[in-house]
Amino acid sequence: MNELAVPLMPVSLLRDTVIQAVRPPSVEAPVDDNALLLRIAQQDRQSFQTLYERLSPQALGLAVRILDDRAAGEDVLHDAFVRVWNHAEKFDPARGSARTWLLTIVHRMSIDALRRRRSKTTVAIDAPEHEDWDLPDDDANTHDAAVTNLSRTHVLSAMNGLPDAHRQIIELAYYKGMTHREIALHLDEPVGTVHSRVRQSMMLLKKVLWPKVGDQ
Amino acid sequence: MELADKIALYALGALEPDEAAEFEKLVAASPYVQSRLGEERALLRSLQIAPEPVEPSAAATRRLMAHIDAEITPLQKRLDAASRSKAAQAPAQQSSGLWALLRGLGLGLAVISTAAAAFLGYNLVQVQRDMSAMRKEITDLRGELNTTQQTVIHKDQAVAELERTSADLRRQLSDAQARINAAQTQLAEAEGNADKSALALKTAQTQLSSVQSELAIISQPDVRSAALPASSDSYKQGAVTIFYSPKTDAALVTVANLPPLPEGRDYQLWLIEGSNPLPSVIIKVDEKGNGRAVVPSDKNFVNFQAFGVTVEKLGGSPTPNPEGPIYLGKAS
Repeated sequence: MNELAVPLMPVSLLRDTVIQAVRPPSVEAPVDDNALLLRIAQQDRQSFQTLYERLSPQALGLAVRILDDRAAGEDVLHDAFVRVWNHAEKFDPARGSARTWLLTIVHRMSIDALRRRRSKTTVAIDAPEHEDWDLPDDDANTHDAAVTNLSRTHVLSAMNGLPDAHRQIIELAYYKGMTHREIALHLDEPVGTVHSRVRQSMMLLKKVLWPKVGDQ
Repeated sequence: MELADKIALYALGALEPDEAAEFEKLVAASPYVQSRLGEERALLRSLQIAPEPVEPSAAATRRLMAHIDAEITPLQKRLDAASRSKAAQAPAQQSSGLWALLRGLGLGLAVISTAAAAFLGYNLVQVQRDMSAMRKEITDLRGELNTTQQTVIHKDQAVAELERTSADLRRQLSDAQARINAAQTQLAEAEGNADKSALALKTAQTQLSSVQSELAIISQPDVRSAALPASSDSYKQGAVTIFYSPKTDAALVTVANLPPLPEGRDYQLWLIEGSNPLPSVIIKVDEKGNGRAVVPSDKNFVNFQAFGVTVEKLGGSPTPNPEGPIYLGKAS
């Protein structure tokens, strides 16, 4: 009967209790990136900071690799994380990891910034929000899981395994935002050669990075 | 272009914009293409982690967090504050104590559900009211933010306009300065030309005056002339003539084809009265030995019996000291 004799709580204490009840315990195991994003969607600043500390070096590395400019890279990083803060509710863990989502945003924004700088023409400041997540991509989750488990060393090894001419084309397209015609002009090669090297590069990368799928 | 190429190039972002738009229609219509594209994209996402990680600067991190803090809702701030407050009160046992409390609360609620429901309902209403107030506050803050942003934009535009105007004015000033410099140069040139013109005018006036004097002499109705032949055949190609009028005290002497003068010598005219040669004008000749001079005299020319032209030292001599040719003739 003792357990039944719970004293009535003051309203303020009850409210704090409810607030605490809907929040996770403060002492817990590290939260994974996807869960952090779900909390960020609820405007959890601490989760945001944690995600930033985890992923910002990789994201900035990608932006600097594309823009060749640390200051411009930090601008993109800033905009990308603001986008994460404002649109975290759009993240769908069923379609990929938080890291992939963030790095995709950073990649798109960096390429847009690079093209804007290159063309000096007016381009929408924000990267397209629909990119990747909104396009039909039913297999994204399956494939993304395979990618998520890759290490940087593994990816570098795969890229270094490509013939120089092939790797150069992939890098010009992926890290420099060049179209296939621009690449052909840049390398003074026929467009058809660029196409075949892209195709061969994708097959080689798939074979090394993704052996099971590549074998299919 | 083969379909596999299109898929790979689109996944790489390497199709031209018009080609990409066309390809997207195909993607939307074909589950097979969607699947292949998803595969290629997922593969390429591995390239995202290839670059060397770069640690953001402390300034970049501060800027981002300040931005997030500015956007964070007041309600969330309160939730965070409440969380921090509770954590400060019972940092170590908070979690387990809270859950134990909740378990106890659950049992208690089972017994006193009506009272607890009333409290919870009351608190829910309170929270909803808070949230409503916070939403209004957010709306107000966003309004203020928009207004501030608009103000900043307008000020930026005004500054940009001022900078443009300033640049225009500086350009106009520079143009005006250049025009002033050009005008000053033209003025200096014009002044120089005016000086030259004045000099030329003065020269022309002198020449005109001289010609008028000469005309006055030779236009006299009773003008006389005397040719002065050369003293030697060696100089006979030269011609010396003197024109004078008994009514005037001036004469005109003209010379043509006279032999070239040695250095430091002049031709000089002599007026011979009886047997006495009186020194008269110097006759300047050009490179062909041509020249003329008006001959002033204190006496009427009818008083002279003869005239002579000799080569004398530069500037003339008081008495004849001829060198070379001598031209001598009687008055007519």
